[in-house]
Amino acid sequence: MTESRGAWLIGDMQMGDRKSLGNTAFSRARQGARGVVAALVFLCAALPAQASDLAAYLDADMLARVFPAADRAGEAEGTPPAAPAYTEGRLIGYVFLTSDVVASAGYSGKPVKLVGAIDLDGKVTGAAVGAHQEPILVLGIPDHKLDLFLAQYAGSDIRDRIRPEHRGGAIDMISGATITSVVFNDSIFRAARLVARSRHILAPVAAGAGAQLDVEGFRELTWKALEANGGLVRMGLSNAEVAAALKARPDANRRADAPFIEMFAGLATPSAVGQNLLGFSRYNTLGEALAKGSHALFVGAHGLYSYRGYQWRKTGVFDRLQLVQGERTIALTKAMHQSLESLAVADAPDLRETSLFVLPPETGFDPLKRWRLELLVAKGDATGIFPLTYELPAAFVIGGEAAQSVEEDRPLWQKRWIDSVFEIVMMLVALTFLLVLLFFHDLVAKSVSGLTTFRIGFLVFTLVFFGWFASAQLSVLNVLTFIGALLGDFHWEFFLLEPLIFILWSFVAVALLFWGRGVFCGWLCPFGALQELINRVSRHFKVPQLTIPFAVNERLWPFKYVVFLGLLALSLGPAELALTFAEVEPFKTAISLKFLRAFPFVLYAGLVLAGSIFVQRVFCRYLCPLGAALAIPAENRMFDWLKRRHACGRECNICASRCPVEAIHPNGRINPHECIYCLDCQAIYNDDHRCPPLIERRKRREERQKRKEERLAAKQQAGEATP
Amino acid sequence: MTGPRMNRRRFLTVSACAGALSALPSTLLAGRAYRWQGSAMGGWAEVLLHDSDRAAAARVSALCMAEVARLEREFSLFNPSSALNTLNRTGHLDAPSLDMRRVLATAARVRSLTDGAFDITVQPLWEGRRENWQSADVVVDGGAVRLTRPGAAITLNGIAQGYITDRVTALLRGEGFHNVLVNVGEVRALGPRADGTPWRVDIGGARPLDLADGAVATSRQDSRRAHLFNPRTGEAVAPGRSVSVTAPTAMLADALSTGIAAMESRTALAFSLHGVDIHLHTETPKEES
Repeated sequence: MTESRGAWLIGDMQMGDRKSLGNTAFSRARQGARGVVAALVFLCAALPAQASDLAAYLDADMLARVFPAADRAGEAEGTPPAAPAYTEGRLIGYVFLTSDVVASAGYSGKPVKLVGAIDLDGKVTGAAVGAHQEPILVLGIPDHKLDLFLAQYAGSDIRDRIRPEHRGGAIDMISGATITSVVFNDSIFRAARLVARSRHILAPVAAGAGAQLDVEGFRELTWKALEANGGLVRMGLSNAEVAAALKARPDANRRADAPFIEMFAGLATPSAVGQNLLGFSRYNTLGEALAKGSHALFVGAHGLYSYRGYQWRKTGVFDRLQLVQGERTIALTKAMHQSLESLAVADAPDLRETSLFVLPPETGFDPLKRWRLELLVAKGDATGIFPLTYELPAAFVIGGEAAQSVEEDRPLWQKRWIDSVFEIVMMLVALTFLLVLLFFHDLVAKSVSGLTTFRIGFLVFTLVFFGWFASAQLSVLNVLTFIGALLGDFHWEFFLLEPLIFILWSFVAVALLFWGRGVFCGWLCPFGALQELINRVSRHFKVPQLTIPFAVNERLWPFKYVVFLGLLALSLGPAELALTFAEVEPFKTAISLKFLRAFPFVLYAGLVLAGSIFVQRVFCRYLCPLGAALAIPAENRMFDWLKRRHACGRECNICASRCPVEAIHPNGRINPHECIYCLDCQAIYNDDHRCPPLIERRKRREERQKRKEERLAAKQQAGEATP
Repeated sequence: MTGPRMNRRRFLTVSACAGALSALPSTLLAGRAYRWQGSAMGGWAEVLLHDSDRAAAARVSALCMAEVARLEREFSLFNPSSALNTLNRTGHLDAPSLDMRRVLATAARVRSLTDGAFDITVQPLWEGRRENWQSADVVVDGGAVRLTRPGAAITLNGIAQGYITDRVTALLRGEGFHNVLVNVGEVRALGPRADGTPWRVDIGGARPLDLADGAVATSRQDSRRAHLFNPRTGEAVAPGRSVSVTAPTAMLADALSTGIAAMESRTALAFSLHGVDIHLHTETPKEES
């Protein structure tokens, strides 16, 4: 069962939840109501004793999908909540809902609800969508495909850092929904790890550097609550059990199922336990010892057997108890012992014995590590040791989580940046080169071959590295997403999730302001680079080029703007259609997916590129909605550094005929909406073999030079003639 | 019991097949099983990891290693600060651990069961101090352990390995494992193999032993350095005979096998105890493996 409530993702970037039905009061009220509900859900999710939503999604069908080996699932319980999964009565794993476990809301501000399951070996057995309101996956990525994607998690080991990898990693991404798949991956694995730790499938969070016992944090808890959250543990032994363990005959005078002993133990150092059990003043007097590094252990019991025994006053040692932690065996002595007359907590059971053992620091006791209290029972020569194990609940630890799982709790976007360091550095280096070129283009343009070499080299780099390697291809979808986010919910985190796209867009935005669309279209667009390179190759092989008369050219320009405006309109309305029509951009096929796609898409991309053989950059000129979007503010650019001469257009149209996108009007003006800043015209501008005014000047210079030489030669001749 | 030696190899073998395994032929099971080898009582450790149970096995193996290390601090002759060595050096031990008390209690019980053949106070004989050796008493009361004779010393090598085996088994049972074979010098099974067939243990005889639940311990005199002594005569037991005992717990099996191995042949053959199986066989003299 999936719901996508009027929210959508466009392409690589996510957006906030959108008013899908326009600006009516009804839809606004609905959105408001949703917001309130979401806030409540969020608040509820933040409470420690969580109610679980899992039941709403975990039906027989879902169980079969996420945990095929299980035939039954129990109720969600525990902290964090997870439903135990059984096969033939045997526990084989746990099923959970990510929103129950990972209380952080999704990037839409609303919880992502994925149903996941893990087995007792720490492997994910399956995952499926419960519900999401992520601005997600629409026609390009229908729900069934999303489930296919999630199904690939089955068998993943939760200890491995499996991340969706662009370049053939362990799990494929949903094409075109990069951020979403990363977010899902993150939710599932974080939730799975938390569930696994709490159920001891993974070792509990070892106290990392800085992990500390939360001694101060107090909340009023009843005895039952302490038992429930693990602050107190219990061991019950019946007469029959003890007799069996000691291999002795059970005592006929005693009922077999009667309690031999019911023993409780807990670490009383944290005030959440100690103060509740002992009361404020008693706990306070204990505080001094605790401050010196001692720890307090609470032990209580009722039943036939006494854990204290009868020797301790004389011998000074409790000979029926010992404390074991790791490799340490700690004897409990009279000096450590304090009797407790009564317990402050209201619903404590009727206990025959209660004790407090204050362990001095010399014992080496570590409150953060697991320990067990062992009870010795002896009948004649037969002895038995019964352990009561204690694991400190995470609720009583502060700081440690951060130390241990800083990897997991770091915001997702930070992880993405850290993972992409190499590509980011390469991109920044390339952009720096480009920036240098832009500022000094007149110097570079003076050398035609230099410019050509640099340009071809940069275009190849853009295509191969930015395009095919890093998939850093900007798209009109980014523009639509951004506009939509501005109109709806704007979260920087969305855009930060794709570091390369973010950097590129930042650069392009500034370049747009300074120089216009050309910086992107001419240098940073991998598809544009592909087209241009194909054309250069075809011209090298003297393939006849189709020249489009300027008048026709001019009249074809508007088409791309229409395409863009159409997409913009669709994006503000039915988002699904926008996604479909955005396929007018062959970028996904040619660049992100490297032509590995369904045939119709490959055909389309192929046709567009085939056009490049005969006409330079035909897509950029007439079809590209991204180019159109970037072209619109061209008149408002700040710097107009492309040099033109007075003679341009009047006497000469060489630049116009050379311009790859025919952006130069017959009157010599460079149209900034179309110019891709290839600097060819600038090269010509400086070329005294191609630019007529320069040719003239050069000719006159050569003429002058020639005449000078002639006169010199004549003088010499004359000089020789006179005797 | 296979006897102590400074450089003796001990290994802890845990074949743990978590209950989720279906009935597979044992060869296939070998692929699913997870074998972990560590160190105990001075030996070396070897760790072999297999496949899907790695998570649970890695976690529990850490717990087992800690428990073995803890008990070595109690019983190891090779650790100068162990509780045992403290007792031997000073003749008494304050606030003995529950583990120490259990082992000493069982030692006393087996001593009386074997009519004194199992005697932990033979330590001076092992150390070469044979003059005027006499068996001593170990008195345990809640507060301390005392040796009744000056110069007396005890060795727990005939029983402690079994005890450690039992503790590790209990740990695994507590962690939810149901099909376990533990070997810390002595072998203890918890349940049969996952497919229901018993474990097969080589005890040096012609046929391997089938073990479905319970323990088996084997004692034989070490031909290079004697560690089995007849407490009645103070003489080292002649090599060439091996005693294997199956019993409900490894500690009991260990102690009994040591005691029976120290008996004269006639007594040994006549010995029997309810719930305990005894296998005696003669060996041709060969190096111990």
